[in-house]
Amino acid sequence: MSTIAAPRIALPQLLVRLVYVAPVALFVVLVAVLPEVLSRTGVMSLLVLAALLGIAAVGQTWAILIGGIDLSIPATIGMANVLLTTLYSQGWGFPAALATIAAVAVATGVVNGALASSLGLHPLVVTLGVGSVVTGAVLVATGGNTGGSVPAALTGAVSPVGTVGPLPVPFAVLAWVAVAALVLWVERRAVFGRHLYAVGANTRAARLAFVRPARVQITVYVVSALCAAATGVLLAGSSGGASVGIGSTYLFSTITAVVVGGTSLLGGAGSYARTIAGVLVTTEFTTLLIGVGIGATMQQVLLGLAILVLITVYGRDRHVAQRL
Amino acid sequence: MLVSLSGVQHRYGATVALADCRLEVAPGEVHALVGENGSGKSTVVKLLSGIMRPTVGSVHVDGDAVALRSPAHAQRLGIVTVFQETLVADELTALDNVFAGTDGLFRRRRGAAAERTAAADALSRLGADPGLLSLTPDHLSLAERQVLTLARALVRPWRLLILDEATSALDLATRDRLFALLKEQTTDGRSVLFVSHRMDEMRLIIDRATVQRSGVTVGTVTSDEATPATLLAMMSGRSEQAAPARSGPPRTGGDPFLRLRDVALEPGAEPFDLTLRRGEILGVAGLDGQGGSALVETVAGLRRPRAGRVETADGVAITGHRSAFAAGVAYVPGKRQDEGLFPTLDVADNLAMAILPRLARRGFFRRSRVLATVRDQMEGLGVHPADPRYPITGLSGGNAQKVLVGRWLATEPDLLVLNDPLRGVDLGTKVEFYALLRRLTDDGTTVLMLSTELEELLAACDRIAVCADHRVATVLDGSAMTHDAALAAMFGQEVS
Repeated sequence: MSTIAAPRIALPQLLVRLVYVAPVALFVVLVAVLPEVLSRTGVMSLLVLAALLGIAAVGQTWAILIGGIDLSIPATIGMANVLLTTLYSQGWGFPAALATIAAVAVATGVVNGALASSLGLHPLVVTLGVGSVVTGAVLVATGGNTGGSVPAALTGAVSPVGTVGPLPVPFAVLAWVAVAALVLWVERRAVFGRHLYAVGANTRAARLAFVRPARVQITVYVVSALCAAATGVLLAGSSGGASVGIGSTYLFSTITAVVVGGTSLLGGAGSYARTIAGVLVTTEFTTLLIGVGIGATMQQVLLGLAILVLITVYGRDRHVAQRL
Repeated sequence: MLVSLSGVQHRYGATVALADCRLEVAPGEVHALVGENGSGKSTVVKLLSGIMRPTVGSVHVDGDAVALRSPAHAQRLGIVTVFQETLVADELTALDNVFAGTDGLFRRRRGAAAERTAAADALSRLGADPGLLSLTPDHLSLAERQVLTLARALVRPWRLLILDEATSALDLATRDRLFALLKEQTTDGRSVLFVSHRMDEMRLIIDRATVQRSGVTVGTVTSDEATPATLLAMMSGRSEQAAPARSGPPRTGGDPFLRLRDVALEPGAEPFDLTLRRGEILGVAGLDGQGGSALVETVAGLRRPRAGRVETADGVAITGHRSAFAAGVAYVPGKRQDEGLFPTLDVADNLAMAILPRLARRGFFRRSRVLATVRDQMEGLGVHPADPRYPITGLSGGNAQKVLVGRWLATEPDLLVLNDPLRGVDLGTKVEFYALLRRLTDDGTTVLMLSTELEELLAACDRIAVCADHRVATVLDGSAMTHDAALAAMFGQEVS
């Protein structure tokens, strides 16, 4: 028995460590195949894409960490995107528009978390429903007229040649660095961070240890909605136009990034640090596929396959833990 | 023999639940099965009702070995069981509950009118109002639910009826009607296997009794021989496993710390008083489901008593888990895997979870400070391996339990409530654990500890509260604190 079990344990543990090496390794491959990536514009466009995904994936990481999932992220991205351009072209100030978007995002998150915890419904169903309501409500509120103009600063924020003061780095990338630092600090040094893991690992035990699972859940979905909204706002800068459907690819890509990073879909194990690695890998992988001329549909097929393989491999991890 | 087991063994993993069971139920008899927790009687019931299959040996029905595949299979052979937990589906009416499982997937076995008549007949024979049948069980009292589960069994074509503590919620009149009904129905060769902790009640109806002790059948006696004294003596023969040595003489009398006043644990249960004194280890004994768990959960504020008050000596009422914690009561849950451990986290996280808010400032903590607390506790408790970063799932049961105790000791409670902390823990760790509890009480902490093993309580505790029928039946201390006295109290007997 033990001789059979040994390799099973070894494989996931190796992958667990490889996850931090993978972005570097894949970058080397990327440069070998597409040498033009190794330029300021090349690296920065990669990082801007990664930043947009990375910020949106904060909430997905935490939602999955507590044993849930957030399917309303695309809807919230679309909401922020459309609301910003619409309000801005109606003459609202940028800060006022942001405050409104933040308020809607907080409300979305509270409803997600409160419904999931008070009704005992699976977040899968709740966030799917809430997301649909948000998308519908935005269309109703704007009369389906989702076009508009974008503040000039926002275009620079996501431009690969954008700068922040003396730094030759676009704002979006710096924002991601700041968000990531905060998220990692909370995960590792905040009581709330430990409570995330406790709720994901064993909700009943958490409650008996005076953790309030409902409060944790609501906070997680609020953070998730705020991060998704931030990505939605930044996306307005890169696309120029706006659309409620602009976030649709982020459902699959945030989950991909979390899973590729190795955060367990069963909750209680993983971290945003892993998601950062997952975000870099998925972004590099997608860039590679585009670079060698693989179309969007084939990209989907390959990304989907990659996820299935990883879930199969990581899925074993938990069984090993339970055997011990 | 209608049903028999001979030389049957059953193991759960490495745990031997039944080492050697010999049981013969003759046609037409009411046969009692008695024994304390861990004697294997629940295992016998589960084997006979098709819930489990024996590891070694087999169940014989009418002299033939049969492999009971499922409870439905057992029922087809006429073995019908009424369990201690009143298992009813709240979303069905009482009538549908009575007949649940008798129909095919698409076809009803009997017409609705015939079902109603049969169920109403069963209920009225037990003295219950047939009108209950239209209600859903959540509107029924505990006693009515028990009547319902009995009716459910009685309408089935039974040959062996197993009653596993299925009469404890009944009032005397209903119980007598049930006994009369069973006497009458067994005259045609049908039999009853009767499990009850009430020895006086048992004697009213049984023909023979089989006694189990530590997984081994001690013997079978006739009704005349089955006096409480004989049965208790048969049950209490010393177990082969050496009893852990006492860690010191029992101590008496600190000041009161917590009082339970006129507390009723279940609706209709008799109220009782109990006082916990500072610096003592008070044990809680009792057969499963007789109020022991309810008692410790009530003290921990996880359960509201049906009547009465729980308050500290200073008069602070305990009304919930958080108010209990604020009053200095920390609760270490019983089921380590379900209610205690965070399997994906390491020892440090598992241990520090409850103390974290106190170590933090504005929601953030310093890692070094947390690790210092964790190391302190691990050292004091002797957790092995002494590595805070070790995954909790890598620890043995005993060491994992120490970490859980450490989680609450770190909060410096006045009263530590332990719900069966040493289940599945090896003897060496147990002895270590008793010494630890003694050191705690030396520092003025009070300990309330439930255990399903009497030996454990006798070794560790200063006093033992024995629960029976959802109340504290007696509190034993000093020279009265013996295995026999505790066992007698569990079975509703006075010590002679």
